[in-house]
Amino acid sequence: MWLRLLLIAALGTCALSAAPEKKKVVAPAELATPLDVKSADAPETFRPWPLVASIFPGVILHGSGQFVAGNYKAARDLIITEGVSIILVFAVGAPAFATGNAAVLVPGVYTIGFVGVTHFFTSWAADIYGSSGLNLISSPLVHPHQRTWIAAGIIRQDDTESDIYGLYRFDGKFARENWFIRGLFDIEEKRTYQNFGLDTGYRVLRPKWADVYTTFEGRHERSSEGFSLTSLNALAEFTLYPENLTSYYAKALRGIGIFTTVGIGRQYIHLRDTPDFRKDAHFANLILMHGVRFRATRFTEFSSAFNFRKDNILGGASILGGTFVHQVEVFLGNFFTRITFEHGRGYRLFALAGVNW
Amino acid sequence: MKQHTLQRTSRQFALIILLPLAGCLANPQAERFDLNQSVGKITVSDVDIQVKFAPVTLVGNTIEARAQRPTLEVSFVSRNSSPVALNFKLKNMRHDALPTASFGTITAGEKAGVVNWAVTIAAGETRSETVANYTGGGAYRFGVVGDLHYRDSTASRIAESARARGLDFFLLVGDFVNQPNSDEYSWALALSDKFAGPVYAAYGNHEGFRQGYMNFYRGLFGTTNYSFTHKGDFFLVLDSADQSISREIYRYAESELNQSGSALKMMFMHVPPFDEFGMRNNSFNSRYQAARFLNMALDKGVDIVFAGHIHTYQDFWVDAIRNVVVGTGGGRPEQFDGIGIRYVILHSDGSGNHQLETVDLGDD
Repeated sequence: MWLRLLLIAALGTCALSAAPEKKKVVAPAELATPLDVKSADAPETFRPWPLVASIFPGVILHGSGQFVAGNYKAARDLIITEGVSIILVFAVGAPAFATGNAAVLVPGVYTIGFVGVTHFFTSWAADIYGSSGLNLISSPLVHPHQRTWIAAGIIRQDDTESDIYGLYRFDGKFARENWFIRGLFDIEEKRTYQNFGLDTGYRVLRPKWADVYTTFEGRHERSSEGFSLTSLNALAEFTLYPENLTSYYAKALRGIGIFTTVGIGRQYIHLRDTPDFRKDAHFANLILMHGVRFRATRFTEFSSAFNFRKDNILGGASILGGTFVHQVEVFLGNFFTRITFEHGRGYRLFALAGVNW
Repeated sequence: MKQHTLQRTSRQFALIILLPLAGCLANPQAERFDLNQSVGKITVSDVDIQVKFAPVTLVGNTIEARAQRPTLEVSFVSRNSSPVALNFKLKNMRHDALPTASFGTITAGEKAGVVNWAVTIAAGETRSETVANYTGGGAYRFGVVGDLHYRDSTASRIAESARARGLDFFLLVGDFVNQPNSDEYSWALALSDKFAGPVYAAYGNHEGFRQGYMNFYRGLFGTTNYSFTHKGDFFLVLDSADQSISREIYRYAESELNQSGSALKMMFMHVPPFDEFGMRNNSFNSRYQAARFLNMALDKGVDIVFAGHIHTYQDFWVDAIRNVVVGTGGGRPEQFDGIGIRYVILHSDGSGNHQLETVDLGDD
């Protein structure tokens, strides 16, 4: 099963071109039905030693917590995952080291190594979560009728911006095909900053265990300081719901989705504000995002993402740290709120309110 | 029982999530910038002395300072009730002639590049003086390279070439050491002997990636942000070692550029604002910040940005600003770029006209 999982992750990450053999159309009512996670089992009594072992030596030998708990098959799965992630890291590290981070070679393999790094931490986290009694969380789907978002928040990023954030999302067809219109208006000190963009998204797959979602985004950002940026990106997100893969994950990773977003595109820098695409500096974009989403209660979603979107997250990412995104989403009837905390070089905090109808 | 378990689980989860976040709100860049303010200050015989931008120490009865730019500005505030005689040993000065001082007596030191400066400060006196390697304007040239990475073989090749070119000074745009330890810094401090002339430095990530080593660097090389005007041209050296320009450094740069009326303005930093091939995370973390920074530089009339960090050579324009990345000093070279060991020489006539020359020293 792990081989299947890894194969899925690799395929979804590299190109996302592996379309499902048969696209199953799921009605909204069906989407709204919580997954059957067979939660009839009584919660296990909390034991400290598996949790201790999952941290150390778990940091080196993933699955140690499960091993101490007596779940040998789970321990085996986790250490296999760790081994594969290390192989993926070396698959990038070796050519990068040998070529001095060559421009012509390295970008093509960054994705593989990035997935390796993040899966390394994912299997460690799975051991910790599995050993610490977090198997109590439940896992409803995201509200299927979510169609519009409005947002207000504050962003505080070192030397970049504090702002008021406006976002409008229109969900066109039953949470399966989506397109977005997004506007951003930022204010900091004496500066103003505007961000106008158009995102289009299309959800192409939603079986129980996986989701593929594609997005094209165009964005134009203007600053009153006299410069602007234009971005054109194509992105694809692949999300795994491992709880539906094995009985072990149904307990240990219940409510947790692992997602990877890959994107390519181009960005133009206009120092004189007015775009002149023949003269402006332009750069290739590489967008990589890998993370874990948690849903802790029926109406709450926690999301934690390792974000490597160098270009489109203001403030960007660092070589080792990236930008980390932590998200809490609470649904109350047709209303929901989302609080997002991002940190990396600086930090940003969003508060978002939305209405579903 | 179940509620108790849930509470405990929630606490565990909150701890796991919040602990990594706790350290994310500090601003280490502000601390780095503030630490610069303590550089160059010393009190000897109740005379408060500040050598601007330069590290200064008292060795026996001699005040030793290493020049971080062609002109040393020294201020004295005496709280002594009688005159005080002070002896300076100034390092990293020009090798081919003695510098001039607006006050006191300059004599040759123990070797080329080291001079002695004797001054007497009157009781209760406050004064500012300069020691200058060069006076006046005119044509001149200087060299730039980055990323020596403690490779003596390539540094020697570059130095040998530079010695024959009659450069006023050489500027290293960061990563001249590979590990920020005493041995490598001693080697770096002796580069002025190898180059037979002053060698100035920008702060790179390899100079500071160990905790506490920023102050070590400051004690040896001086501030990580500084500026000077040489024969009419303006030089601004900035700390971009962590792939960004902090709010404090941005404002410092803006202020310094505002005050300069030079026809040719140049900036030097380790990590370039932009990588011509922008997929390697080798430039500023944020292109928004890079654009904002270069936009400000454009408004203030900056002509060239010199940087390193990427172990290749790039020469490209972002609007009217020429971006030169010259990370070809000997650090592990980038493959498939067809560039070996290379440094650049800027020829200036001192009135804004300039030319850039690349000097190739063969394969690595």
